[in-house]
Amino acid sequence: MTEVNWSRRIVAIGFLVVAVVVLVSAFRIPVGGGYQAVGPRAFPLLVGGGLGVVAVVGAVQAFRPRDSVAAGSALEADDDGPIAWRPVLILLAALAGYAALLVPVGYWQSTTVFFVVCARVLGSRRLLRDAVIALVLALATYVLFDRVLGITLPPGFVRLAI
Amino acid sequence: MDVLSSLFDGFGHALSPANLLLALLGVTIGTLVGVLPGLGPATTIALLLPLTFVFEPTSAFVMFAGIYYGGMYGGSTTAILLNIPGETASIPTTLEGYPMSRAGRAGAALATAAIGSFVAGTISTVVITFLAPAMSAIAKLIQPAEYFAIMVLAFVTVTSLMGSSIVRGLSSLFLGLTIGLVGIDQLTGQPRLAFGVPQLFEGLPVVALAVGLFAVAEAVATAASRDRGAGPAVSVEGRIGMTRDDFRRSWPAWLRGTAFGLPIGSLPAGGAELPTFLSYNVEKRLSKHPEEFGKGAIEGVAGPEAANNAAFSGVLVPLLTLGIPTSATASILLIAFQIYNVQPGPQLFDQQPMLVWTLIASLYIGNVMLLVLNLPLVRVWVKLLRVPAPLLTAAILVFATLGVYSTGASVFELFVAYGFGLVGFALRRAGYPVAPLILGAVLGPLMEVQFRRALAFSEGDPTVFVTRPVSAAILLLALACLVLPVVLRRTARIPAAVD
Repeated sequence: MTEVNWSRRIVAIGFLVVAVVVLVSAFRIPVGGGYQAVGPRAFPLLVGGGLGVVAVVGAVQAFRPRDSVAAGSALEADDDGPIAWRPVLILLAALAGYAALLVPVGYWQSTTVFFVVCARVLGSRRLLRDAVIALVLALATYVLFDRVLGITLPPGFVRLAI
Repeated sequence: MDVLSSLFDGFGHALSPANLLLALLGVTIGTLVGVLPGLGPATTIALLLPLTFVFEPTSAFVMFAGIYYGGMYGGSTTAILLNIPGETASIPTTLEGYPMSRAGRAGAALATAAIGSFVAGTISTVVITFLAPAMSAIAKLIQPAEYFAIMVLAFVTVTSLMGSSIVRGLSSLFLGLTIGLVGIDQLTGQPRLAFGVPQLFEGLPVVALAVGLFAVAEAVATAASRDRGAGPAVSVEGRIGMTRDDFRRSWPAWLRGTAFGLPIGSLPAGGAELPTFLSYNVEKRLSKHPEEFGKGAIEGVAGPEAANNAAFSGVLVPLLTLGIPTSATASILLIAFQIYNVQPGPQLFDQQPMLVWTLIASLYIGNVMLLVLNLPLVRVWVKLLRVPAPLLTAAILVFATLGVYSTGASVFELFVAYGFGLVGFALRRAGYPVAPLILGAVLGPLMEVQFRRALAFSEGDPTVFVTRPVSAAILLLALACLVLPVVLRRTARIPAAVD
């Protein structure tokens, strides 16, 4: 395959960025005097150095005109095919909203909404069925964890009578 | 210490009604989640890990043993029925298992997988029972420099034996080690890579990391492939069971698979992938029906499944006695131990005898339960495959969120989990393996401890790792494991190019 593997290039650049960040911040760790034979800096430098080397090699491989993409064997269960960006982005936004609203709105309330939205984004078209399943699932897990197992979950603005 | 009396004590604890119920629950939930397409054992355990924290340690580990086996069996069910391997080690099972189920012999394939797993699991557990205490006695003698070298070897073998690129494997590994660095240095109190964020001073939450990398990433991948439509519907036709001929062909394969899986799994290197592929190739070569391979030869399911299960049990030896996980699943088990403030390693058998022996006894019980429960219930599990994918994914995300939140009661950890879900998805798309990452993140901090201890003993002389003969030999072996596959691949490619 001569087609460019964009995800690999982007990830390779990401690794380079992380390597730089690790090395820069490792040098900023104060060594501090004292009797420590090895301070807090040695291991981060080792890790950052290693990451730097493999990140550079990985980037060179990813940006080579003919990356050996075809060499990927049956051992790799990685997924090919085009990425459907719309559902991915909506899903990530829904997750962010879920996490942000969990405490102020409450566990079972936000879980119900999130489940319905998530199922819809992923292609479910039966709103009523999804809503019923979502509500039952959210209430069941809430009662099980909060009331039976004793793990406090955010109650939100509507308190359950049980 | 007498092994048998310790084991009896362990059975005494594990066989209490409450613990038996937890084992049953663990096997059931483990199978239930593991049978869902795309959720391999590592994902299953990551997703269910927080659930066990509700219980006190011993009960939690009893349940965990059940989840471990259940998740694995669930994984082979999807490999056979749907051609979806939950993890690399299940790929050989798909090669023969899926053709068998296409030919209406799913019942036989599922049966040989279940009985083979039981046979291999039981033999392995017996061996572990005696091997682990002996190993732990040896492990006590290991010095920091050698400990460090063994960890390097474990990292290198897990990274280089599988996957198509050593560079990408090492990248994941070093990223994992970087993640392990985050937080306050325990010896000097210096914050490292925390960027002034107070929540990061205790390090990145590993439960959130594991749930994100496996469960959330899986959900994101499902969303990304939404437009590609659903797979074929499945059903299990015919009887679940084997004919006399199936049995005659299966049992030598089970034993050979165990013979590959157990020793390789027990080494502080490798993991479960190598023995399953090895077993598949050996069965193919030894078979009296080589023409059936690729079209549904039962040996090709029996051998790798036994090897997989034996290796999974064997992996517990380095995990319990050295504290070194050699697979993604074992890394998540190590996280579970750490949450309970139990540090696996040479001292574990002395400090936590009840916990260890109850865990080992639970392995026997889990194996039996799996066999008794799963063969009759396989049709029930298969019905789960008809749950619409959108609902399944939504449920996975809800449980992932519940799990992460219930361990830390922190919204910050939720964002960490979701963030790593995205990272895990990106890595998968780009062909980077995830197992070395989680291994590095979990084992990295322990590795640094040994690294600094070794250098403290040598008064800061870094040559200590290569001047001590044992340490030097292990590091040399690690180097060979890193370089040899590359050389072999190069030389193998040249004749291929000539053709």
